[in-house]
Amino acid sequence: MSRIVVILMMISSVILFADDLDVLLDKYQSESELSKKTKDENGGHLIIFTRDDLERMQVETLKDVLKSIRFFRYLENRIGEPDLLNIDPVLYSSKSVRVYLNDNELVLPITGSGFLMFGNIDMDFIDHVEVYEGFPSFDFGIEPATIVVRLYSKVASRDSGTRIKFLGASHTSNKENIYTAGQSDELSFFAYANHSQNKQEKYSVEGNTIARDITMKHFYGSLSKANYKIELNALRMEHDGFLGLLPVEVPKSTNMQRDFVNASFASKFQDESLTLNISYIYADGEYEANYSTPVYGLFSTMQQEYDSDILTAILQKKIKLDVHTLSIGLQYRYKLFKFDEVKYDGVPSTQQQKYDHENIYSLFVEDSILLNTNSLLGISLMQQYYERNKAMKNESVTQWRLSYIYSTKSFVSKTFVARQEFIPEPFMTAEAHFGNPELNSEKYLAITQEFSYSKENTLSKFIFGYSKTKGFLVSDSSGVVQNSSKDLKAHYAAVGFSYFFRKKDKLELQVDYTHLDVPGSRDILNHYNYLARVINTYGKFDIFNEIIINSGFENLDTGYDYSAGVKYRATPDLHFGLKGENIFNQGLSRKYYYDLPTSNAQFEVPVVEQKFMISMEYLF
Amino acid sequence: MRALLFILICIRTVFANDVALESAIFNKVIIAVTTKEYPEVYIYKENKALEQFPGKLKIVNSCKEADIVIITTLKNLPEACKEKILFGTRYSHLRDNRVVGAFFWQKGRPNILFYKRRLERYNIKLDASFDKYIEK
Repeated sequence: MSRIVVILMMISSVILFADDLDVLLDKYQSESELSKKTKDENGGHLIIFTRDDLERMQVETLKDVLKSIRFFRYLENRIGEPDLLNIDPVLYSSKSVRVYLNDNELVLPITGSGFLMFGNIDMDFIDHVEVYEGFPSFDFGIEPATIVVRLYSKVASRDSGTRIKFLGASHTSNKENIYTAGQSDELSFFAYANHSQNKQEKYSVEGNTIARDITMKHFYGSLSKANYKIELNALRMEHDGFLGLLPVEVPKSTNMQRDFVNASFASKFQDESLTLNISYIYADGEYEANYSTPVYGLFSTMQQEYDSDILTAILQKKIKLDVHTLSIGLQYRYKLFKFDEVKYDGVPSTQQQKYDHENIYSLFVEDSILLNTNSLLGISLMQQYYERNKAMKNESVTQWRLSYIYSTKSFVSKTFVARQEFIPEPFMTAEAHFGNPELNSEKYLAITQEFSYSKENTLSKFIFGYSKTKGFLVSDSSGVVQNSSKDLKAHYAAVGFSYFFRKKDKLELQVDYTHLDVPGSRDILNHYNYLARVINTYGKFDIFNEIIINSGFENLDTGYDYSAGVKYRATPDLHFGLKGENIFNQGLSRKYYYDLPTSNAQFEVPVVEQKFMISMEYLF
Repeated sequence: MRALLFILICIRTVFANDVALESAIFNKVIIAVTTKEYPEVYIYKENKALEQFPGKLKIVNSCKEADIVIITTLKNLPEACKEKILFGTRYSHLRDNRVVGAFFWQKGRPNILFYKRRLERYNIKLDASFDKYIEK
């Protein structure tokens, strides 16, 4: 053993001390990527966009990376909000897509996840993004998920100083933001403020002009002292409601506003093995639509307001016992929601929501067992109890997940088997019009497998899986949500290849395929996504090229989205960017209903519009 | 075979490890500043990289024995340390005239910075490869 240590020390000395300082600093920066500290390979099938990726790809919003992840494509619903699994005219289908900022889930109580508000968030304060697919670890949060998007903010210890950024884009879109960070012996802080206007093409449908422009004001701040951290995340979005909530008529005009405030406190004890996180969220919103002709012959204006609060407390302990690493978590979430303030032509609706608050208790245990130097077995169990204000039946559900990871120097195999149960969210059960308090939970069973093989300059991945959903939620002929009697079945597979060349260049290729057997009239669907991306650095220039082809999606026309950008680093502190998105305007397009039930007419628009942007960043 | 596997795993860990690289940078800088092959270093108050991978540096327990002091804070700096060469780990440490240089993160990247006058005060002559890190 001592001989091995000596050999190791000799090898490390030779390699580490041979390089000159510039090379060492470059290597150190690259090896210090925060993603290397935060990623959890056992958490699911992982896709990472490092800080270097985000900077060289000139990622402006979360959509810029989500549009290329395997098995999915970025979509928005009929009112212009992110909804990765959108099935028009259903407004929101992404309740199982969960978004986190650091350790806090960005959640809206009514929809069950915050993807609707944060699926296209500005990214200038974000260090890196981790996307976990395939029923990720219970370690991540209180409620189950199929996709977890983890955003990690920049930190004071790395980003001391100030940065300002200005961006101008097509249709007079613009973005201005600033962040500043600093640290003393005891305290460190990070503060970020952003204002952006994303203006897009206006369209004429049935004689009405519809738009999906968004103005966003965002603040994020954190203050840390030793093992304690407080964060404040506040967002206001004002935007057009595009085709409106109702698929029966095209609105003459729409207005929406959403506010979100999250204050959180995180603490670590016992050598960071015990963590306590407390998070409070307040969210409210308003929607207004005006129609040229009365909808259903009854009303010409519709107004809706909601407000909600969530309190979440998570206590987690990690224990190491020989080959076992135990993670035990106790979680509590309180949700309060009011969304029955609906007015038609100024007259309040008599419909009442069915219940207005919910308590969720959750206990999970996860054991990672190191079977030998190459193999890791994970066993996770989560028990949840949903208490629902006596207006609805309480639910007690059990989730489990098994994982097995085998790794050698160049080969990694990951196997996940999970059974999860999703309790219907308030907008499906308590909403006055299409909500159904009798809904049962959706039960998912999934098995997924990933093989990856790496050599000095390449990384190859093959992922495949099968999942079955019992009680999948569908709308009946009157629009009320029901559990389907037929199972939703999905087979999927993806092949990915990355080639790393020269100093920092990389080529990424990916093909994925999904076969869906969907309950209802939609039957069998086959989706294909293709991705080719090249990121190069030549001297002071970072060059990015990406083409994404999506085909086979229902109500989506096949398209190719070619995006490219050049970033010029004039000095280490002054950067200029030029980027084109969907440059040939041939990207995926989406069809939305607007005349139901009279006709099945649909209006088609690009999911990601053609856009050109120019930007400047200055650090001081 | 098992030993070989262990070595491979360790090598991956070592070289995938930012801490080892951080130590290598400190080694390079401190050897250049002290012009000693095996300099004696006092750490005030903590530095995980050097404690874990000291490399050619000999970590000593008091400032008296040290050729150089690596500081993570200037608060309550022992008197004996004030006479030694001080090297910082934050940009803010450079506000103190006694600190000759620092290795720190700022604006999202690692930096090394020395001030020429302070180097001259201690009669420290760095080789030409350090020129780009010296502010006049």
